Amino acid sequence: MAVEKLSLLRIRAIAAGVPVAWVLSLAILMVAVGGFRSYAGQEQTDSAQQPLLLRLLRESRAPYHTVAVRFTQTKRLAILDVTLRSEGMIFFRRPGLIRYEILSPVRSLLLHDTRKAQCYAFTEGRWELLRSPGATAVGRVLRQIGHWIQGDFDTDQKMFHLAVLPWDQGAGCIRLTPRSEGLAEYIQGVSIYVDEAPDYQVRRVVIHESDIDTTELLFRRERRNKPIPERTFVSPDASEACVDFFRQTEPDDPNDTETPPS
Amino acid sequence: MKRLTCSILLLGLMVVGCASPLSLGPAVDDPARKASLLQSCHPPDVSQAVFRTVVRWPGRELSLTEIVKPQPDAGYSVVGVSDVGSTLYAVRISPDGQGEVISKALPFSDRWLLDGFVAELLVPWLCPDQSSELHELSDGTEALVQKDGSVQRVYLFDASGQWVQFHRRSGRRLRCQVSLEWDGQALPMTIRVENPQKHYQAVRENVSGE
Repeated sequence: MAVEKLSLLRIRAIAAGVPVAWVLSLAILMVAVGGFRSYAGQEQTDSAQQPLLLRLLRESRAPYHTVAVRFTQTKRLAILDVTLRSEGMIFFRRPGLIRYEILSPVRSLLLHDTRKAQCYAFTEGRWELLRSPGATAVGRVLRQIGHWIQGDFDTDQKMFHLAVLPWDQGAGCIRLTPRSEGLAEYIQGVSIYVDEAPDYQVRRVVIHESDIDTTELLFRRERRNKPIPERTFVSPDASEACVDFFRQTEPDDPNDTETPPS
Repeated sequence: MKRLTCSILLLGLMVVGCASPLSLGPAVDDPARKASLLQSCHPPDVSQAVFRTVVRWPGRELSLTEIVKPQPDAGYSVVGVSDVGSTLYAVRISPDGQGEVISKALPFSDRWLLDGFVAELLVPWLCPDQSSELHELSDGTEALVQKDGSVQRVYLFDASGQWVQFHRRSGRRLRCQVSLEWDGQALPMTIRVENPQKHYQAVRENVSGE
């Protein structure tokens, strides 16, 4: 079933001219920021086997209706000696509103309103809505994530083997490895590092696209259940208010600093 | 009917425009002037360049970040990354100009990627050399023309001697037109690409300092 869904996603994504890795990376990123509810949910079908950390994660993050977080994304291609570091922020509100914005070195934006996704690029001094056939595929993935975040796991895609490993700086590391060879062509694995109790905040995600290619996300300044600026989920023009939001609201974790842990 | 006729005429003009975009005069023997132009378009001395790129095909647009990293051996690493960080393409250009696609998620051929998309990005680094010929254009501006078999690379300069355009032609056909907009930095502020062969336009904004 999972393989069939993956194949369908792959075909649709390719037909739309969207790299599958793009869609999958986005899915993993959103799932991670959404509080692991997807993976916790997948384990619900087999609760006896469910790792304790996943249960604690699900329980600790259940009360949050909104989540906003800043992140640093570092892309490394070792074989070409190329590194790209980006800064961004993610806003989420139930039932499935998502704002995913890159602030530098380029500015780009993805909005999802439970029905469709819109892709924007800031180019030549203004936001431009892209005519992107790929937005349909992205929207499908985001809609699925919205279901997960709401606790609807009927359409789960068991795409990954999941293991919880010890992590000396936090509660643990969740290691995801693809179940299918098809998926493994695009993503070799994902490591998700989680803080200690009581927040179980996601601190770091490492996506191994291939032997030569990793993407690391460091999350910081998480805000939970704070009033989100108006138009966050509908307009690129809310960008400034979203940046200010992190300046004007107190961090949930008093130890959370501007600079991400290395 | 009138509208159809206009459309046909317009299409005809576009085709003619693509086929013969330039009216180069004969080669001019002016070594000092040629040396001056050659000197004005040297490869940028940067350790890494980052561009915000938007590519437009009819009915479809794509945004990405492109990184050019000159290598110590005089080759280049060139990478295109989606807005969520996944690799769209990764290419290595050897010192002798041979390209190798390391990975690719875009649904395009390696040849198109190397000869088209990446070559157009690398235009600021691929300057003319001594083998080029100086030509004067009908409007009084100048061009350096470099021939490589049937491929002709035309470097156009404005009245002040600033390199502002690059054309790649195959026979009489224009394969791509690249406009360079400068703001006094080592790299162009904006690179605009028209590729009539593959029916796309690209705008690349230099964001290396951001």
